[in-house]
Amino acid sequence: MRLRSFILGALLVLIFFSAALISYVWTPFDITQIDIKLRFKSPDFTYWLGTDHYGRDMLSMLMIGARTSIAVAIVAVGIGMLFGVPLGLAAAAYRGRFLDEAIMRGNDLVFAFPALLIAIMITAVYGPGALNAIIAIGIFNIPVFARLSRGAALSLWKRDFILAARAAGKGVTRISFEHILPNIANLLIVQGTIQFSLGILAEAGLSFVGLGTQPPIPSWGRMLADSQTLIYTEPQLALFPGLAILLTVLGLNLLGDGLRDWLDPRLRHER
Amino acid sequence: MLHYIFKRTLILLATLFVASLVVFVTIEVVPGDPASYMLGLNAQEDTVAALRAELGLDKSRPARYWTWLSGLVTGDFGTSYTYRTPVADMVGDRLWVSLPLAIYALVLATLIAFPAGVYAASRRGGITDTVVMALTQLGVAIPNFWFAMLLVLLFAIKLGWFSAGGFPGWDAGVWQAMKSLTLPAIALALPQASILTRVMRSSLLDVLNEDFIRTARAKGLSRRQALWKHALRNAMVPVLTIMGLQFSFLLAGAIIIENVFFLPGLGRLIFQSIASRDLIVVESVVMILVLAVVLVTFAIDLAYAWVDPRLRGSR
Amino acid sequence: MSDSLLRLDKVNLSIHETPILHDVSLQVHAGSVLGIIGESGSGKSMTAFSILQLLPQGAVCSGNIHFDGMQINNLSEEQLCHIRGNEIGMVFQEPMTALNPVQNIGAQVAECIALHKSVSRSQALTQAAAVLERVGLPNNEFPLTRYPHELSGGQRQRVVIAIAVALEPKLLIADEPTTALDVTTQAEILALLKQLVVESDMAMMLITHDLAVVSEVADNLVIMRDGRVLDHGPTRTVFNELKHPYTRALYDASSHTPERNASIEQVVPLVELTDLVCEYPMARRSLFEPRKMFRAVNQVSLSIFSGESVGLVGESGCGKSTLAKALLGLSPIVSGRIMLRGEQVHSGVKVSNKVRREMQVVFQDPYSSFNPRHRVGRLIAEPLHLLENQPDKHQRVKLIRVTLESVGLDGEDANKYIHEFSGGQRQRIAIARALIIKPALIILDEAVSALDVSVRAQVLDLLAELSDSHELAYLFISHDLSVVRSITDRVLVMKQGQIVERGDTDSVFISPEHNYTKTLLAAAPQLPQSNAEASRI
Repeated sequence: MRLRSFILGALLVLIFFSAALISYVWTPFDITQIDIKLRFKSPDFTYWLGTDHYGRDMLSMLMIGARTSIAVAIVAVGIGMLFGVPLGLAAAAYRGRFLDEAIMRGNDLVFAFPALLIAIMITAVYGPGALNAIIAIGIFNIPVFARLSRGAALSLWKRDFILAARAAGKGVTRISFEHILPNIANLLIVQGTIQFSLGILAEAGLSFVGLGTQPPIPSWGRMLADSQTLIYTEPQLALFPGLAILLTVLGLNLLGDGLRDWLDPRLRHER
Repeated sequence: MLHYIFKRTLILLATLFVASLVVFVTIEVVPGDPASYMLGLNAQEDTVAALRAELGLDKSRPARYWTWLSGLVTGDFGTSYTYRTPVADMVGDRLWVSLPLAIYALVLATLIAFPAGVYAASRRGGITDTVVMALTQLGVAIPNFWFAMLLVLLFAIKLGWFSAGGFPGWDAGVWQAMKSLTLPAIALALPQASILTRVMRSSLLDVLNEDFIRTARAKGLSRRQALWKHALRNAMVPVLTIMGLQFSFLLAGAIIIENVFFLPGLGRLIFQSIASRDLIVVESVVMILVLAVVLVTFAIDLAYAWVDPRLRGSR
Repeated sequence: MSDSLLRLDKVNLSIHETPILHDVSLQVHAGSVLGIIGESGSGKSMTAFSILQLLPQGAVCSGNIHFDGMQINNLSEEQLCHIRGNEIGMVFQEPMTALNPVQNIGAQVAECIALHKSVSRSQALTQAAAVLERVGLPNNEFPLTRYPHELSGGQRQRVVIAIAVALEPKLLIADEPTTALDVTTQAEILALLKQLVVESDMAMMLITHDLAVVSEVADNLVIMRDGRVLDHGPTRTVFNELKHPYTRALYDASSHTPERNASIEQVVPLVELTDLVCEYPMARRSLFEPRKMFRAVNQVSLSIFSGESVGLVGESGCGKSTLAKALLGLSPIVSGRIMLRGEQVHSGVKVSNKVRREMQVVFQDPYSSFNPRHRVGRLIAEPLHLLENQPDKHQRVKLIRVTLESVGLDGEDANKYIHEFSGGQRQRIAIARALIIKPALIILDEAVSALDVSVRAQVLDLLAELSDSHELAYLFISHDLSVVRSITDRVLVMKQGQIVERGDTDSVFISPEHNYTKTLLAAAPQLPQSNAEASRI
């Protein structure tokens, strides 16, 4: 059962990743060509998923949309890890001291601003754009990774092998990277997939309300926003972008669960 | 206990203060002058200056921050650049849509998640457990605004049970108002309920492995009694944490969902204000949302102490 | 037999198809105490759990279990619930986690009473108060509203016992009830259990790994290994005859004294501590008060000569581990002086690598002592970091092999990961890690406390042999008096941060002067003399 859902997850993720990659070199149709005559076509053998209100091929739009979603989410998770993990490790290494307190209070502060609020503030200042989404989601990811790595590192710092490393004369930074980081890597990978899927949802949400990716670049959230006004007449336009988001996120979550079971030796013993 | 509350209150106030500073500084770095933007390109110099004075824009930044902050504390949020009406009035009306919506959704999510989580945990590995878990996987993955569109499609357009959007106002009667908030609340609640169910289940399963559950069973309590009397309260700490985080997601989600259902809430207000560069409204709404999130975190911290005596400190 | 209260007849147990128990048969007579002895993995705890059918998921149990003239292993869950807590009470090993942290102790004891008797809530609480009084928690000092985290380990264990005996069950099952406790607390809890058994004419099944503990309490013994009963009989007979080879091996290992030929004739001590003071901050009680400091080590002086083995004995929280960390430079010192070979090395905060090279450490827990992501070779080579001239790759590999071989492991083991080794092998690896830079002193912080007796005996032999061949000095920190006695030349007794008594090991053990030392020695359970042992010598 578990293995099956893991494979399903991996398969879904693989499909959307390859769709995104293939779209760089090939899409079934050129989406920059607008032909109103071809609009609102139902799915057939030429247009597998039909066409939108500008007569663009939905499948091609979705493939390029996958590219946007995945790119935004990957960069956002990268930002979160790049800043969050060192902060969390530092907080754990100097636990109870001023640095720890400062980092944790900073985390609380960021948690008070949901990603959408950050995006709203940035948009208010610089206007909308895909970069907004990346920065907003990335900032929101920092405390997530900081808390996770601090918590995991704290329990490792209590272990005797850290004392042994200190008795061997190793310093805080060296211990953090040599002993702590490899031991929390699994946790970070699993959390990474979860944040990745949340990032895709968040990017779709921001683009949906016009704070993220801007036309003419296709994005799943944007496509749903366009279909919203047409929902009475052409409800099928809302179907495929939504399904694309759902299946990608589902795939990532199943993959994350599977990875956790596989990487966490504690769970492995139980089976 | 008093010490704990006192410390939490200090953190609450400090967070709010720093947050206000962050909001002000971020938004005030915006290039351009709201006054000349509002009056258009052909405005006279002295008209612009007069408007600047009226809006308080001629003062230094620290002075403006101080005016804004002291205004926030007393409930005077300043005057909207575009509508020239007090921001407090605009926000007040909208708050009575957004806040009920978020609370409605949180209540729905909790009402679904608690029984589902407890039931799945108590029948671990059974068919119900598997089905509940599979449904929550879908619930977690579904974007709430798309789900909202699907709900509109089914219940408003196909079945006609609800209106597709709009809000009649509370004057039209509580029943009518609640009815128009129901679809949005469901759209918001279901993904959150899925997360909460999963957390509830896994937290309960963790606690059920603890030694004190074995002690309880050795007393003669049945599995079910041990779960209700001993495991549930101990499992609440992670559940509360998630509920606290969810409230901020619900508020954020509400902003998006309001757009789908054309509800006159804070979300609509904030997008209109961004479009018309009514920055003082943006600042105030962001601050109110931050306040809501921080207050909920504070309430959750107090709830921890209620659940776990170890946090109350020694007598 | 007709008067047996509990009888297990060919009980087999498997969990997820892994066999755990094989044809376990035993009986407990009314009002008597049965001791079950075994090392880890012997199935002794699972035997106890199968009686009450409190088994983990996936367990399959067969055979017959009779209690009070009734077969109980095929009863319905509801009927079992009626027996649990009411007719059979149970006490567990870990008092720190055995109580619900969010319920006060009164409620937890009263719950058991209210569950089986039709009494009101206030009546249940009154009775709970009486039971707590009976187990030595008087209500004026320990009101019912106390929460578990406000009690010490020993006090929590008393609450667990109160729950178990609240309804005066016919049988009390105690699974390692004193293993997690200090010696003096252990003695008190054992005395309490004995007293309760006599007072209410209750039978008890005492499960332990410690021969000495069981010999003082039990009327009959069962000795288990790998899920099988190997030996059984009246306590005195079992000890006198040591009939089964495994019983004899256990007995020998429990009283094992490694052979050592230390000769210490030096003027300058290897390490000398003078008036050492260590403190650490306590949790803040109020924002406005300054943080209070807890003085963990208070004006301690001691010296260790090279090749000597010095014991440091004390109960948990006495400051012995803080002292060890201070010596290693892992814990800051407030005042005092540390001298190495007559040179002052430590007065401030930092310790130089030169000092660290001379001192290494072995910790208690063989499971948390190693980074699970590194191979054994890398693990034991870690202290080489302290050398000024790093050995090249070839020298390194050779050094790792030689060191592994010197602790009785194979040179090839360097390529394995730590989870491939047993607890005893891991402690050997920990010793190899300490040994690799040829230190003059190894601090052994409860280094054999987590090991089974037979493994412990082997590790003690290894330590004795290494100290002879490498001229090593040991600071042997332990709460276990018999182990300290067997391996040290001199001993220091520590209480509340201070050394209360010091002297040659033998003279301190034979004629202790300080009252605390006397209490400790009196509390330590004694292994009975065996006729079989006497006749062999």
